[in-house]
Amino acid sequence: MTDLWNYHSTQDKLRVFVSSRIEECKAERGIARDAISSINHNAVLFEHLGAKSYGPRDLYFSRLRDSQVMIGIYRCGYGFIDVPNGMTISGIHDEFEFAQKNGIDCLFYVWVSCEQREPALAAMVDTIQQGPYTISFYDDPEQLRDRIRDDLTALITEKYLRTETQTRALQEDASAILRRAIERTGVIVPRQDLISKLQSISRESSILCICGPSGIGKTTLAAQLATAESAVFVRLSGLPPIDVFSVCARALVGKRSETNDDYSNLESSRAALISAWAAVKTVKLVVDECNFVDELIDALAAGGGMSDDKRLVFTSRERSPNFPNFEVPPLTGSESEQLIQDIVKEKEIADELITIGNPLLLHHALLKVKFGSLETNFAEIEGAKGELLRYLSISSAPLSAESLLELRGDDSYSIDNLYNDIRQLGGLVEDTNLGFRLMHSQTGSKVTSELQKAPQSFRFFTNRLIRLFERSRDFRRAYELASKLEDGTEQKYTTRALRQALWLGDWRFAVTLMEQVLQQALDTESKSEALHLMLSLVYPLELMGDAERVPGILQRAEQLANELGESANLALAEVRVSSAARRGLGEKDVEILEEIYAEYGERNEFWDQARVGLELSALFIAAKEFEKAHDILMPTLSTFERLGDEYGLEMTQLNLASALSGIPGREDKAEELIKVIEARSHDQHEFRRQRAWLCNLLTRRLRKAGRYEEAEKLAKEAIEIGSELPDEYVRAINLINLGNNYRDQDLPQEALKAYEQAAIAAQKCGRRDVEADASRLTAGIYNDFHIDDIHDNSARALAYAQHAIGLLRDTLNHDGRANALWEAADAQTELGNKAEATKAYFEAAIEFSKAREEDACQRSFMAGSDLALPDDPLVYIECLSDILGVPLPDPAQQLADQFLLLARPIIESSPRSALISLLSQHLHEIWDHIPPTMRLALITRMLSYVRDVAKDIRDDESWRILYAGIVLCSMLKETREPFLVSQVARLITAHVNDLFARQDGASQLWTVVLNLGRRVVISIVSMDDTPETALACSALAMFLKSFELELNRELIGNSAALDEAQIFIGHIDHFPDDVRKSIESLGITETLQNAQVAVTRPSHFDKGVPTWVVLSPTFNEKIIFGEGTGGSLQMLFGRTLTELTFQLLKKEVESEVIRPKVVSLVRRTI
Amino acid sequence: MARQKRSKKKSKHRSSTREVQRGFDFGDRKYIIAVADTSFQQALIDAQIVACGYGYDQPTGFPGPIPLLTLVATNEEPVRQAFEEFKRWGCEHDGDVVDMNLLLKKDGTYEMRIAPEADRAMFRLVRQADLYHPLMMHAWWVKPFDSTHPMLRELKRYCDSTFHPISISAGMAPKSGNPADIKPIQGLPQFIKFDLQIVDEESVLGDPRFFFRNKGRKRPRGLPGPKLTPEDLCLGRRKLFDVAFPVSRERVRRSGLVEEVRTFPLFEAVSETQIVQASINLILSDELVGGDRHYTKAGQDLQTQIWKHIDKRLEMAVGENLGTEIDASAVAHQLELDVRYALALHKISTESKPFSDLQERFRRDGYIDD
Repeated sequence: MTDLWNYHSTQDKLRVFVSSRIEECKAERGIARDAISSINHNAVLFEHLGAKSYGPRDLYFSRLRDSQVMIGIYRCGYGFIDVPNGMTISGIHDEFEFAQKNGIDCLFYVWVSCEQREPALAAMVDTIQQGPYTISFYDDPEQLRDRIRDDLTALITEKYLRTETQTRALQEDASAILRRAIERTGVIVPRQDLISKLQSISRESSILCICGPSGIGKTTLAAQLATAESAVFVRLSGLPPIDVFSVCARALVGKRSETNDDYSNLESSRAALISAWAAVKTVKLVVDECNFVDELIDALAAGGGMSDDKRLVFTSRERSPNFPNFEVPPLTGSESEQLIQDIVKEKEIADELITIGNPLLLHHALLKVKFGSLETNFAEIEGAKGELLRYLSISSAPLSAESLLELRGDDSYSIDNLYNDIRQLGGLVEDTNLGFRLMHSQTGSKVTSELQKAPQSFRFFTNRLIRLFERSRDFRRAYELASKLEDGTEQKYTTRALRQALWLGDWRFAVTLMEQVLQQALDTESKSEALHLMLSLVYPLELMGDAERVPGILQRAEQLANELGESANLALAEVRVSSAARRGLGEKDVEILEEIYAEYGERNEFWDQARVGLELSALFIAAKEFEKAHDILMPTLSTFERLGDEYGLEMTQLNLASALSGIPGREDKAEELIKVIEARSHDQHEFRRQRAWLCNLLTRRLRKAGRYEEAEKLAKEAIEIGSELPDEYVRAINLINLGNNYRDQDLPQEALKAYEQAAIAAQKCGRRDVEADASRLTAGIYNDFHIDDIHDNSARALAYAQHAIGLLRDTLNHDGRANALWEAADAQTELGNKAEATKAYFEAAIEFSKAREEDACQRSFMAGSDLALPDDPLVYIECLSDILGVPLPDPAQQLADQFLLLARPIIESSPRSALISLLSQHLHEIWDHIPPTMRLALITRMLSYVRDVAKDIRDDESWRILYAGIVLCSMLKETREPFLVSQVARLITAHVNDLFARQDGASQLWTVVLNLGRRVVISIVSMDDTPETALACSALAMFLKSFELELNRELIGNSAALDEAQIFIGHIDHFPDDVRKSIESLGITETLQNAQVAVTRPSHFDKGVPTWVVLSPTFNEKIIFGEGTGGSLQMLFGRTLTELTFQLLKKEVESEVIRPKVVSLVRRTI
Repeated sequence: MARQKRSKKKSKHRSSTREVQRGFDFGDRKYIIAVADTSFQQALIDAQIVACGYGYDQPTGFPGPIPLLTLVATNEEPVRQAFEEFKRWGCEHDGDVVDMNLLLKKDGTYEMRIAPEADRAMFRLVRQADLYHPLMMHAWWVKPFDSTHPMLRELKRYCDSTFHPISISAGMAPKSGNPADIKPIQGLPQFIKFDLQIVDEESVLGDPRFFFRNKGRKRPRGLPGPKLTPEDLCLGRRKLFDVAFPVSRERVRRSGLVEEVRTFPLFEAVSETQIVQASINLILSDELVGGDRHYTKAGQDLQTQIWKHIDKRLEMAVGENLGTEIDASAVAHQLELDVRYALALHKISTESKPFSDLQERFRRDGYIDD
């Protein structure tokens, strides 16, 4: 299975598969793993697979397919042949063949001291030696440490970082082009008018296409334009997208020769270009001979797009259908004259040449004159120079001097001979930094078509070139040339070329090859390979902005997957969800991913399950769902442990430590794990990575503890490590830590700088969530601090906040989005945009609710309401209607009616954490604005609404009725009629499980069954018939049931020591005499002079003793709801809850421990 | 000695078989009929209401005038009696205790109807209505009027708004026939209605609240029939447990009785509700006659005794466990008795039929739903 998620932190790393016999090469494997890690790439090793039920071959192949490089280490043994499962070769041989077939780069190391190598292994080593592989021999495993590191570095630099190719391309700047043009013809026709015209047109459009037929002079003109305007010029002939992006990025930042910024994959090189384009303020980028203009424009658009200050000019033979074109005209007669005046003396010929107009054709004509006559055919040129010309014509890529000498295969033919012949070919061949190439591809086409008239000759030259490219493992070129032979030779390169094309981002070529692969896929194994390759095509297509093709590919993949069975369908499902994830991971996608996770579990495919589990955990952590991350990481950890997948294990431990650090009360476990990770760090390089990760955790803790200096030191250390590794993700998150540290010290300027750098780093590694964090925190600084010389703080804050909101749209990161919305709301408030601010606060509340930030959700709703309600209730109504997704009430209606219309939607759809407070505040607004004589009507109407809602409520949403019941109770404070209290009780108990009321007139007996680790039954008994007591009993019962989960989580912790408890409520003069006397002796009467509620506490908790709750005569009068302050109901809840907790735990808990928790629970009510 | 002992045992056995063991199903709840006072109706008839007056009133506590609906009477004293009755219902605190609606008919006439509001009346009259099957009987005073005044239409529109307080009063019919001369009756209890309904005849067609006098409509006689269905029994049982036995139910669950009873042969598939009910029956049997099981010593009118007992019996969580007299075999036996009782309610013969067959039928016919 291909690991298709690209949003994890290791995206710049390559995967290096180590193939060897596990026990025999144990020492070598350890050394190889260290060597690979030391240069910041991932070693893929499995140590204990053989003994497991999981099919080892499938697992090996899934990881090998996913690797870019394979290291084979062999001693003496060939290995076990799994004959029962149809194998005829051993595992290491199987892996070697797979790597060969798939074009995976290989490095081989063979133990030289082996006296009796098994014949099959000896034969395999012979094959390797004969092939185009790097093979080394060693006698001491320690020798491998440096050797593997060096070989791997060389391979990666050449093949993956492509530093040399890109640097050479960058050296092809405008001056080099113009200089060669002069060398070629002795003169450059100035064409000043044309350049001026081009300049003028290019100023009118931010994108311009210079078009014209081959040889018309586009390149020269583009170079002249670049020179005249000091523009950035890049020539991208034949470069695949990975190079196009990198070269442009480096050119834009002016790093044409330095090689610090290497991007080992398509995504990072594209991100680099986006980042570079975004960073420049003014630029004109002139791009010549780019085969991927659309992809380039798409990337530039992602970096902010083109504008008056940022322009793009590109060359093309065809007219651009989308952008303005500047068509290059032929040379005028006088211009042609300038070119030929020193070369052609004969007037007749000169007159004929002047009519050609096209500089290339004119040049060709001049060459022909030079070689003999105008009729001279280039394909007929003989000797070494003819041979060179043929190779250069057939090859679509430039060829180096070394390659040409190798192709010649004549030891006596020296480099001097080569240059001499090239010179003799005059201006036909260009000596560029990328190698020798024909001046114009049209020449090559002509020569090739002439050559094809003699098939044997054509085959001879082509085959030599194919072998050259095969040796240099350029399978794309090999395939391209082989397909020209039209004999099916190309088939053996198809898979390898496709993998290479995918890596380079050459999706057009990849799509063509895909068709070939599909046609060739006839048996199950090849169909399976075809499916994997097809799925591998999805990501590059999306990345390159050609996502429209993806559904078609997925559809075809689905047909193939259906033929192949469930496993293939699961692979397809993974790709679909990751495809969706790249557009912004939504909750639905996570659900699908969870289903895939479960499916792998059911199929006993535990490694795949663990892999998906790891990905899920990363998503949960990013969304601050630490508990969920923890829950999924525990089984994942044990799977990787069981399978011996060290990389998986390490990643899981890192994620687990992060998850535990985010769970209150689990910091100790996190510490333990951190120590385990530290202890395992044995390598200096890997230690630094672990260290950076550790710094990240510690910085946050130190900052929260107010130890800013230490925190800053650690943050900077981690940033430094990030730069050295290099790992932009590590840099980004630690820059954010640093910024937070500055912010907390009231150093806004420093914080801003850190966040800005964090955003750039995040862009480079493609982490939208981190970039959004940086942007949102920047907004926070502008909102919260006055910064000298800045007068538009709020406008800036808003812009940054909106950027963050956009980045996180439709993603799972609700917490980040909520915070960004909050910052936007703050900024809008400052800017006086009350409606926008209110709406943003409400949206933030919804997002906080999704992130299960209950207090924040409640706060956001309150902030929005507080802002709009006092002066602008219509704004409040509009925003609330919008957020609840209901039509705006008719403005012609009375305001109270409009408010009342929204009460029902609040009950039906507001988040759990906000329902009580939002409904209370909302109803209080009506309550306050209607005459007291009409309040009973309001309550009756609300009761009828709640009853209506209850009719259709789902069982799992019955809490809505319960919460509304608490609000109704608080509203009943003014009524002396017990009827309505009884109606509320009947309504609630009819819809909420485990809550029962027995009513005898106004007297009430409630039974609440709470799940607190055990089922605890609590009786709440009214001691009298007064409305106060009835109301207090009802409200308390509903409160306890409403916050049952929180009560258990935050106070009881599944440790209830009682099965039953009793609470008696009433006015003291209705209590039995003995109880009354006993209570009065405790000074309750005095307590009630200052409080509306007094609660008894027994002297010991050994035996269940009832809790007596005494209400003051003013209990109802002092009920407050929807005003953000506490009243007698809150006092009743808080005091009774405290005592009940003691009863249930059978002990007193220190006030400072229990009080904040009780207060927090009570605050969530009215 | 041995013979003597055997003889004693035999004698005891004979004695116990003479006592009838009984089951009970709490779904078979007691009907209770509340009959509201109808004196208001007679008083309004005696008052000879001849018209309805419309105007505005400025009651205390309202920022502006609100519509006023005046019953125009010929006799003052009966009006006072009717309003005193309304006051006893609580109209001064909650005007909606008086149910009042106006039915606008297609022929241009309309009817005014007044009655005690049913839910509130039930609350006043039956203190523990949730324990029973309560039924309400009350009278409506219905007065047809010949023509619909335009103000009534206006009042109807006013009633469409969410809050539409209307002051209700009474006055004496003027001899002049001029509405302006209606003389308010002083000293009547003031009441404000918030849910006065003014409805067009066509909008409430088929609604029995408005058409109970229609000719040809069958009027129910006696208690509502037919007999309780098995579903009714399930619902009633559950409701009663919720109201009267929530603590006992938890204690049964906690005691492990449910699992234990199910280990008995033939009892594997009995429901939790059955076990809870059987346990509660054992508890009540013991409470009614100390030491009794299966209601053997309770009187003939077991149902009355049980309901009387439940009416007074309040369950509270006091940390107790189930009594030691409740063992699983007794529960299983009681459960069987309960099944036979419930089936007998529906005239299903249970004699000489094994428990397994009865239990199967019990479940199949929907007497249990858990």
